[in-house]
Amino acid sequence: MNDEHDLAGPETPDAQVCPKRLWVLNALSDDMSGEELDALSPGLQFHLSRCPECRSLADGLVGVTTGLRSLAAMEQPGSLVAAANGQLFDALKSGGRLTGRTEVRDEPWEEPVRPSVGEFLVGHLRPLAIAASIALFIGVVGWRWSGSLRPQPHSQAPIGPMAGADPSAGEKGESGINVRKLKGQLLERKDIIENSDAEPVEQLADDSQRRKPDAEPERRRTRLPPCGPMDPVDTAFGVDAPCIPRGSLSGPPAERDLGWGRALDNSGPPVFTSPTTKDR
Amino acid sequence: MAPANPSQDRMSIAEVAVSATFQDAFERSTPEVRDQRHAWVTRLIERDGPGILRMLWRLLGREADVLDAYQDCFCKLAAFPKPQDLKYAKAYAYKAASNIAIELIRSRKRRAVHWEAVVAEKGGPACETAPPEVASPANSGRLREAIAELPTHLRQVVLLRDLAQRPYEEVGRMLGIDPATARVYRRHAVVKLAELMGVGGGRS
Repeated sequence: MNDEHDLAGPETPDAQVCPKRLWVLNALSDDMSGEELDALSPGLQFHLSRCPECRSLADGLVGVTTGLRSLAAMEQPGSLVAAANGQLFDALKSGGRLTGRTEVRDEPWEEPVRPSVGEFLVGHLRPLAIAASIALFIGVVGWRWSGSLRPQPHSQAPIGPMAGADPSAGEKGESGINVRKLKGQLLERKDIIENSDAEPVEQLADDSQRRKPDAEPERRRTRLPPCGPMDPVDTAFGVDAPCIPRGSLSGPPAERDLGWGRALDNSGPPVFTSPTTKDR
Repeated sequence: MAPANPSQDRMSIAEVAVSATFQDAFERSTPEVRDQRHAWVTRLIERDGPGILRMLWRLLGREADVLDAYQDCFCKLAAFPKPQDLKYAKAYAYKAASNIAIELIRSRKRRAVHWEAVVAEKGGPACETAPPEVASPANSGRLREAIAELPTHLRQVVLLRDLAQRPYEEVGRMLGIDPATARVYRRHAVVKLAELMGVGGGRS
């Protein structure tokens, strides 16, 4: 059933729709009194007398309007009001409890309904559980956080006066540092800087250039264990092989015997020595 | 016939039925009815009860059904938790009464259909289905069923305008629509009713 009604008529395209159907609908479906309904316009009466489709439509609309008007003309019996009110008051006096089909709540609406203990617990169990979970979480987090703030042993030296400061003598600042002594040390260093025979800048640069190659082996030497020179093959390929003492080898493998020892000494037995940088 | 004891709290329906006016029954029902929680309901009954009862009578046409619908309507109002929650008590009362009446018409129709099936199966006479409608015009039963089948917004306008005979301004105020809209709805309802009754007004 469609809620919206198209007053223009059927929607089928092949239907023969009178072009004055809408006019008839508008004229007869309106809320009119009986006199208005009887006194239709002469043009509408003429069209209804000639168009059977619109006449059928008009008969239906007039029939519905007449039926509604006849329903509205029905008057209830005089005793009905009194009977209905008496029955109704009887029901209201009994606390709103109906004697008919349905029943309504009979407690007064002004008084709040008090739940039982079980209903109260059930109703408040969820918020209580949520609040307890949040409190537990906050407690655990707070306990861990406060534990992380405690001073750990051996983690940091206690805060005290600076090295060189003598808090027991002399003029002290806010942090207990002997300010006069520190001032004297700074002045001595300033005198040393000003009165020293400063070397020229070029000489300092030459010294740095000369010291630079020596610095590299120093660093390598600190990384490597103290041992003999490395295998030339490993050195050639850049392999940082573990150091093997020279005397610990029982015999070199054939492919690693480069014959340098024999080249150096042809008379004696072969000496298995690794070539060193100095030999090359 | 006046009751033997005027201070009697509970009166029978027959005793109340003989009382002529609403005021008489209202005065006899005190003090239980006139307490605070039912005061606004009694005022509503006093003011709009006759109009609602008239609408119900025109829609239902049977005294027993009218009394049941009337009682249900106001007892639901009395059971309302807070009267201030009602924006428009009069509109609520009319809507509640019309809804109860429409449900009665629908249940009556369902019962008639099932009763016919039972009679056809048992083979008995189909005589005592329902009490006849009192002073109803011809074909009014079909028209009432068609009203019950209308869409809600159209049905409410027809009930308030044609059966309760309220002016369009009041119909629009009670339904929360413009009076012109109520008039258009009523026109659509007439066309739809003609279609439902199959008397040539519809698309069929």
